[in-house]
Amino acid sequence: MKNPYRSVGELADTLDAAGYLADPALATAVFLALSLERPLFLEGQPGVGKTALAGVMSQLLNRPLVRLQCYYGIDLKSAAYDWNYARQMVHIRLAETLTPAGARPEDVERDVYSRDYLAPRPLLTALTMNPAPVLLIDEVDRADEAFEALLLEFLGEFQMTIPEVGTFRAEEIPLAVLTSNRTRDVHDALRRRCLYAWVDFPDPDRERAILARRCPALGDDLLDGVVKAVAVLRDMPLAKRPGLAESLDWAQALARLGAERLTPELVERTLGLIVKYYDDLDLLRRSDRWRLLLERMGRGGHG
Amino acid sequence: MDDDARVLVDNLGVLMRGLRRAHFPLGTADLKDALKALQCVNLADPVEVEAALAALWCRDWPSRQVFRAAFEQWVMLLLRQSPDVVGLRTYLAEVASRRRDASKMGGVSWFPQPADGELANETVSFGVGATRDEVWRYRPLDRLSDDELHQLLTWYRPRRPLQGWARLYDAKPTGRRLNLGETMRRGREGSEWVRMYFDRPRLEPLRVTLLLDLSGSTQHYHRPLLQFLHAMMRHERALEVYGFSTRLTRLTPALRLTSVDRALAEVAALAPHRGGGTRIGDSLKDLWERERGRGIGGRSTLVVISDGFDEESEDLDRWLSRWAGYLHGRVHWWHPGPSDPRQSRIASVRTLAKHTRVWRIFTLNALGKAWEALQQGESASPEPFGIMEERNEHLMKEGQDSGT
Repeated sequence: MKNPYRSVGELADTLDAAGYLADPALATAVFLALSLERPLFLEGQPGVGKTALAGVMSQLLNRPLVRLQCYYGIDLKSAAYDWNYARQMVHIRLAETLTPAGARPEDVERDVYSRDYLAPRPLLTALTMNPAPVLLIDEVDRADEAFEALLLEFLGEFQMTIPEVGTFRAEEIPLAVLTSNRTRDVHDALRRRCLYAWVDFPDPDRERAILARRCPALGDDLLDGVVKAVAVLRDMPLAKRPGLAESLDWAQALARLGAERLTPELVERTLGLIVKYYDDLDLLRRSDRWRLLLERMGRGGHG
Repeated sequence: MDDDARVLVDNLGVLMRGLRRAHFPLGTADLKDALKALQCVNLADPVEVEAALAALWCRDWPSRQVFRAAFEQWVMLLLRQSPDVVGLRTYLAEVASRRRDASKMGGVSWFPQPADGELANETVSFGVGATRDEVWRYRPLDRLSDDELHQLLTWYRPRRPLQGWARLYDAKPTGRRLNLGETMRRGREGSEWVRMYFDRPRLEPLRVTLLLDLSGSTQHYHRPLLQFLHAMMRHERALEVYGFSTRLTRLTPALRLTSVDRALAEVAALAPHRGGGTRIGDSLKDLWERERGRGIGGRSTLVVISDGFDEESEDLDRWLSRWAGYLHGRVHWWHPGPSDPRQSRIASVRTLAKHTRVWRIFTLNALGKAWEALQQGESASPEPFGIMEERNEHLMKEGQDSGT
């Protein structure tokens, strides 16, 4: 895929205009992925915008988004291709009845394992689609090692070999984005075929800018309160620290409730939007730091 | 190649050599990629250059941190008017030290063990007629001699590595559910006889993560346990080892070294602060925050090897229950020391016994049984450790005393 952007700055500005505020390292990595035609491997905490980046790039490049959601047990048939067995059976029965006597069975066999009987799945679709799409291989850490090995040929050469048919090569290289939440370590062989970028929680200023962009109805007081409360939560040893997606959900919920500023009661009522484990709720109830923050909120400050 | 390009390649080579010292697996192809990437970005902007090289050369989050420091030092080196050989060597040494604190490189300390004289005076009684192998297996871990420890290298080899059932299936001629697709695909060659294929669950290596207590109270067990784990590391396929006393340290790369002496020296360099207090709760917290997803995942089994003395039992309770929930109860506690009824009074010991499957690993034989039990999962019955029973007996005795 040809890189339509002349510089990293131009790409960052375009992303900014589309509502995605990328830090310079991430923008550079995306720019290089387009320029060098290499897959992009994004790693980071859940809810920091890894998957969203693929969606935004698909919009900006005006290409379709092909998504492969990984899970434990995903295999070639679900990810790359399968044979259309029902159609093959129909073909064989038809061949038995319609083919004149003397026809060779080898020809029938060759026919049913041709491209016509392939059922393409996301990886093969991404290779054969023209113009090339943006391919999102989401949460690759959820798949097993065998699936990683299956991806090596695809990501290294942008090709796929099907024993019965031959090798499929991409006419135009798709922009491949892989994401991982680090629930397990992805093998080095896969990493070295990709450009790597770590997507971290945004700093408070950037988070405030993102929230203001996404929820324009929120007042300054409420924005400050949300950003500070989320920053405190991220600093605590929670089982699941709130990501950007959670703080966006929280901000949108507060806007829907018509809140003008954060109060301890409002926080208590809506805490389920950002804290997702009972253990974490229990920890917050016993935490002096959280209690102090709520007290300051009650007095009118944000802590 | 013009002069500017040559200078760029030379300078990149310096950075690359520094990173190689910090264990970055970089080759010539990576240098070529970097040169291609630098043609696409603004060379006058160090942020862009750093981001471009990081995207190409970093493979994970920790290496990104090392890279950032190395890049800053590299830029400082380039900004000097005439980078000399001394400056270059200093740079390379500093980058290497990012990987491992320089203070830990100097003195390699061996693990404390009883002097020969003390060992000779110990009287250990064994049954008459016991073979040498039996003597070795049933001798307490802290009294094993160097020769006996050396045998650990070959002890476990004939056994099969730990395995567990995966949720994946293989197509096999026997099984429960017919795999029609595979039957058709494989049946298209050969005679008119078609062999049926069925889905059968696959076996995968069992993931085991061990937390080894390197505090002062277990110092006599460090060396035998580390040698045992070194032997296991060569045998198993998905083993991760961490050491903890004052902080959590990943010992897996050190234990993967083939030479046992080098491996132990590397462990000593990585975790020099042994002998401090035990912080099991803190270590479990660090493991959760730092290593979850890397050294331990949802399908792993966690083994804590410790005597169980921890002052922060409340923290320990919280993190142990969190780990037990995350791993569906696959948390084991191996106690290397002898049984002592007084242990039942200690809050942290009671907490550990509450959340874990407890095994005593006082001898190599017990250690082997505990190891086998990792594979058997719930069906294995722990060797009676007796903490809970001892605690009950103790409470009953106290009640009787107070009654009289």
